[in-house]
Order: sequence, then structure tokens, then C-alpha cells
Amino acid sequence: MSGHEGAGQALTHGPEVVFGWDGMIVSSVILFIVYAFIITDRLNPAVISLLGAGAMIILGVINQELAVQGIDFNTIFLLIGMMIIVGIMKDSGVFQYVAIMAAKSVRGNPRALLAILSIITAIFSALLDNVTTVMLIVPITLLLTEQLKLNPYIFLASQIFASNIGGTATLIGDPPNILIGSAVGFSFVDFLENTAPIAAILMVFLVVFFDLIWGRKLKTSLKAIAHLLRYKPEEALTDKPLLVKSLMVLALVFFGFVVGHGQGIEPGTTALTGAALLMMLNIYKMKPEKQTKSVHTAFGEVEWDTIFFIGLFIVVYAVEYTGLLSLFRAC
Amino acid sequence: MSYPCMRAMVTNVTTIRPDQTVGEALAIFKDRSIRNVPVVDKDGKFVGLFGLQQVLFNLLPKAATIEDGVENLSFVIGAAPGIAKRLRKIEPVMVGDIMNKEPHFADCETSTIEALRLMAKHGSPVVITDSKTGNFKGIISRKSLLDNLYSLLEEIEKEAENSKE
Repeated sequence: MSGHEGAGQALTHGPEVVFGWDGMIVSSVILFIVYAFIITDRLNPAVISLLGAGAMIILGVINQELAVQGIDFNTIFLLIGMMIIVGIMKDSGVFQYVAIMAAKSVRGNPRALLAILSIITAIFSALLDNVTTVMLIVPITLLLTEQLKLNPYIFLASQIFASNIGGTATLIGDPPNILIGSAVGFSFVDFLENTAPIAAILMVFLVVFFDLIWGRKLKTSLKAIAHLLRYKPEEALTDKPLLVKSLMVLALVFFGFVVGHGQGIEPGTTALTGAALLMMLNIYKMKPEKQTKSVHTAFGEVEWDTIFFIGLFIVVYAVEYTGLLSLFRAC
Repeated sequence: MSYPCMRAMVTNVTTIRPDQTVGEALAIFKDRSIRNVPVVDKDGKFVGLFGLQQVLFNLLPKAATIEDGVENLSFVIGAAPGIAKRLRKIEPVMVGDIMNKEPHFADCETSTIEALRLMAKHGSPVVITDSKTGNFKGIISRKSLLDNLYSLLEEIEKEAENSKE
């Protein structure tokens, strides 16, 4: 008996599909429609997944209680918590600072810059959500390549790969990892031990590949390099106290990821508690109206497309509940 | 009694075509001491607004103008000569390529208070177009709107005095 079946039987009244239709067929049709829209990009994924979830409940494939059971709140909380932490942290200018320091450390050499920006992207992607990482690193990459009069596309292509590779290295690097970790119970350390070494090896391949194909052809002028070397990275750090608070909380959150698993504390709880702690440190001593504004800004950093996962969890749970996945397994 | 915003409209307005260059537009700005100019195509249809704001925006590096771009450029030292050189680079660019293609505009029947709201929220001028054809009719500037409100105030006060007598 699957956990879902057990959950279904625990209810007084199980779901009943409208018009006596077959639940498996209805859920399959809804799943197909939802994925068709997602794949073809005709509708926003969050909207179509929520519509699909609503249809599953309204048509009686699953009932309200089952729908809520299907939502993996650990994943949702982890994503939201990390988005808030990174959203607050980025206001300190730390990501620009690191990228500029890296560019200066390689003395503006385009080949080395291509490699180092990819490595930074991979590391940030491993520690943060990879979409967030790309959004933070792309603007500064554009600035650096414009300064050096280099084609940014090679840099961006390399960073896309690096972000995906880096994201696989940890539990929190990529939503699929979060989903797998949450469903199977893999810990932060499990991912570090098993996927991080492979990600590191892949990064070596990536850096060498991009260098051999494109990196060695990159050329810039000494004048452009001289301009870049005049950059003052410390000026990018606009809020040092915020940086200290953010790094402190981030360190605590990672510590929580490592030790929390053994204590039964899910990463979602750790991330959301960390986000709340950082917001508290940030608004401490502020007047109430300023506190509200600051907290609203922090919540505004959450990409509410994350709601997509809520819809998707319900849709997939309904498909699983009706036995379609078991049918595939049996085949 | 309705107070359409067209009472405050200025019709004698300099316009520019989208295929004219930024250099030509800047010369017009300098010559007429204006900061914005409505962009109107050869059929008289309003297609956008071009002003010094668009010029300044295009002097910045792409990294700072994209959505979620770099929010602080204080670490870039000695960039002013490069920015000045960009002025020459954007002079041959066509106005239609960098104009504000989604400006806030009103039509002749739009109320004065709505025109005031548009101006307060999105800045001056508010362009007035024909609601059916989309053709350019005129603009409402801060000055023309205030002048109109003052003349209305005078009317109200005169009426009040007359009724007292």
C-alpha cells in the first residue's frame, strides 16, 4: 500500500470523480494538458499548474485534504527562505564585489575571466538557487565584457552550463535536488558527498572546453584592461553591516542544513527560520512603519512563480493517487 | 459640468518623426529649450515620446539598464570620458529605436483630474491623441495645466463675487 492510498483511506469520504468518470483517465488528461502548455510555453507555468490543480479538486479526482497532503511544503519553504535571504543579501553588493575582485585578480585577462566567472557562477549556484545566481551574475558579466569590449554571449553560455553543474552539487542548488532530497530523505551532506565531486569534475571539463573552443580566441586592448583595473570593488559593497549579518545568517543556515537532518529538522524549516532571523536583524531598531516596509521589500524578493510547484505537486499527487504511476511501474 | 483636459491642451507643438536621428532631436531640444518631443509618423499618428530621459538612459552601460541590472555603478572609476564619447555614438541612432514606445497618453475627452493624475504619476507632458485615429492632437504640459487651473479659479472667484453683489 502506498502512502497516498493510506492517506486516502484515512479520510471518512474519499474523492468521487464527477459523472462517474474514471479518475485515472481524467487525471491523465489534466496532466497532459498542463504539460502541453508548460512545454509549449503558451501560458505561464504557475497559472496553468494552478488551473490543473483546481481542476483535479473540482472534478473530484482528489479531495481538498488529499490536495494539501500532496504539497511538499519542505520544498516550498526552502525555496522561499533562500530567496528572501539572497534577496536581502544582494542589497549589500557582495555579488558584484566578488565578480569585480575576480576580474581584477586575473588582471582583466579575457581567457582567465571566462574561466573564473564560470567557477564563481558554479559556486554561487551550489550555495543558492541557480536561477537567482544567474540573475545576479549576468548584469555584472555584461558590464565587465562591455568594459573589455568582448562578446558577452560566450561568457553567458558558459555561465548557463556552470550554473546547472553547480546547482547539482548541493541539496539546495537546484529545485530538482530539493524535490529529490525532500521525497527520498537525502541530506545536505548526502548531496555534498555524492554529487559535489562529480560537479567539480564536470566544471573542470567545462572550463577547459570553453577555453579551448572560445577562450583562447578572446582578445582585448590594454586600454580596456587599464579601465577595468581602475574599478574599486570596495565601492560595490554598499552596506557592510548588512553583509556581515547576511553572511552570519547564511553560515547558520548551512550549519542547520548539515546538522538538522539528524535532528529531524527539514531544510525548509531551517531556510525559513534563517530568513526570519535575517529580516529580524535587518529591521531591528527600525520604527514600526519602516519595519513593515522593509519586510514587504524582503517578501517582494520571493519569486511567486514558485506557486507553480504548489500546483504541480497537486497535479502529480492526483495522478499518483489514481494509480497511473503504479501502472507505469507495473509495466 | 465636465472639464475635459483639452482645455489645457497646447496645439502648437514641435513634433519629430521616428526616422529622424537623436542628433537632430538634440538640436531641436537645444534650439527650442524643450526636454521632450512627441514622435509622430508621416500619417500624423502618435507613436511615442522622445526626451532627454531616453538620451541619458542610453548613455548608461547595458548592464545598468536591463531589468534587474546593476543598481550601483560607484565602483566604476573614470568612466565619464567614455560616457561623453557615447553621446557621439547615439547621435546617428534613429529616434524611433530608443523613444519611449509606451508613454501615457490621453484623448480629448479625458477629464482634467485624470490628466493631472497621469502627469503627477508619470511626468510631463501628457500627450493628447484622437481616440479613434490615434492621431496626435497636442500636449498638456505642467505650465499649460496650471495656467488652465488658474483661469478656472479666476472664473470661480469672479462668479462668487458676482453672486455676493
